[in-house]
Amino acid sequence: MEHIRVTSKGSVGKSILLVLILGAVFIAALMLINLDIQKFFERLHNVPDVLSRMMAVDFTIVPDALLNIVTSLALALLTLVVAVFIAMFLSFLAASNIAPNRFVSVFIKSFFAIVRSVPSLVWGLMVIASLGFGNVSGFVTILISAVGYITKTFTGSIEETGSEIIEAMKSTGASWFKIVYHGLIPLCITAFISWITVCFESNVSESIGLGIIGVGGIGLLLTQAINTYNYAQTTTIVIMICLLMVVLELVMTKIKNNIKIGNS
Amino acid sequence: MNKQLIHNIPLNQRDSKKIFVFVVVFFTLLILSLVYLKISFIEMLVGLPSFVMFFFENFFPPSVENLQQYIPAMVETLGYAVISTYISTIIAFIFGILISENTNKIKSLRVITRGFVSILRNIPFIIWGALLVYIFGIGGIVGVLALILVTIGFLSKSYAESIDEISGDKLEALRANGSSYFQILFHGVIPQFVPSWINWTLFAFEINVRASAVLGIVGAGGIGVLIDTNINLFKYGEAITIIAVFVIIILLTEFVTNSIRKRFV
Repeated sequence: MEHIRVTSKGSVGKSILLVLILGAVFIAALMLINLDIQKFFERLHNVPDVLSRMMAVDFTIVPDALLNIVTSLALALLTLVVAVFIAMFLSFLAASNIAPNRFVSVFIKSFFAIVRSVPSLVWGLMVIASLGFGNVSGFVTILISAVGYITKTFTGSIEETGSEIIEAMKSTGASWFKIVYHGLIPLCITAFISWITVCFESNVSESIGLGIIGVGGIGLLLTQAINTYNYAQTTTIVIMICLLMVVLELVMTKIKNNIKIGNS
Repeated sequence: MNKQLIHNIPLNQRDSKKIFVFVVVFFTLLILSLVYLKISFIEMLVGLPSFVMFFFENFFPPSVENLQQYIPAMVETLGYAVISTYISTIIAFIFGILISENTNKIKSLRVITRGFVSILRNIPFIIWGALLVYIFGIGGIVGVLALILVTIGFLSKSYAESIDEISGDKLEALRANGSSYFQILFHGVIPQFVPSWINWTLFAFEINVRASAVLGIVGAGGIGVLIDTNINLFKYGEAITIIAVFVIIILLTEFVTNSIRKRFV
């Protein structure tokens, strides 16, 4: 029986080469950084002890944690709304098919590319350095990263609509605001809402993370529990964070699906 | 008269009552959250401008004297991202196969893996970092571990979705030919999965570079330690230099990943 090759000879050679390159990069990365694996393994025998102490749940922290979860959620919601307003405005100025001015569009895009490449926690460190600890710092930090994210995604959605509709509306004599308000917003609203739900999720997770560096919310409570070596409370709070995020994900997916079905 | 007529044409035929209720509920939620957080409108309005003012007054000019000292930490940060992306890609691929209905017919196993992965994904990575530092102590390997866990969570879900998108017809045709499970996997699933695999992995790498910079804040090594200490010591000029170098690295990474994407996907 004749043997039929499933993959061609050339592609085998290519994939071997690819694997070699990838392997070389991995080994180079391992060599370049100092991981002190030995120290890590030495410390491993402490781990079962810590883990066994963490296998406890402290229900007394639950009401406090719930209040802090509300703080985190409120912070995320507030920032989301403000960010959507700002980003909606900016993204119509930045989308290349509707932008009134090319330079403004390029400027907004590159400015937010830089803003987005700084992680939110680093923004957080800078904001806390200037405004001090507290909810206002959290608000400003999340606002910066949320505006960056929403502007980018909204701009993408607007650009996807192409230029035909805009041209058609222009030929009827519609002004810029009318094109945006009656032409583009109804067209993009589904995409916008699904981006907003994604952004809300990331806002919540950011506001939790910001607690670690001193902004209020559930993250701060967790840091306090960790710093006081309160094992049971740590476990409880982590479980609650996880539950919160899972519920949030389910709700957001449901909203997204509802809108998709409602519009089609 | 004519104008009146034009205005009477409804441009959107939505249920206005529903929207009204939604808006009212939404704004009450908003005001409640403002009250709950004890943020006043003035603070809200002033917050961002005053931060920007402070930013330009204190963080500039950047001091570039110690630029060479930052290079090892930069390399370390990139290295963490590379290693964690590699390891998590392999593990996430197995999980992805276990989650997808196309490749795993055992429902209980699917549900268990999905639940496990969603726990990994849903805890924010900085919380993972803090927890692992708490358990294992400070050190670079803890950062890598945290990155691996979160990336597994993210990639497994994305991989599973991509595998789900592969049409069942082709796999069925292979099965009808009498091919074994692994033959279907290697000749049916993987070749179709490779483009999205490359796409998601590069995306995960971008996220990891960003995340590995932050992990230093909780004591897990990398460039974040430098940013954190410099800000805490009020050396804002040096902090902004590190951040600027870091931004350049991220933009470069994005450029490289995008050009890889264009070639292979």
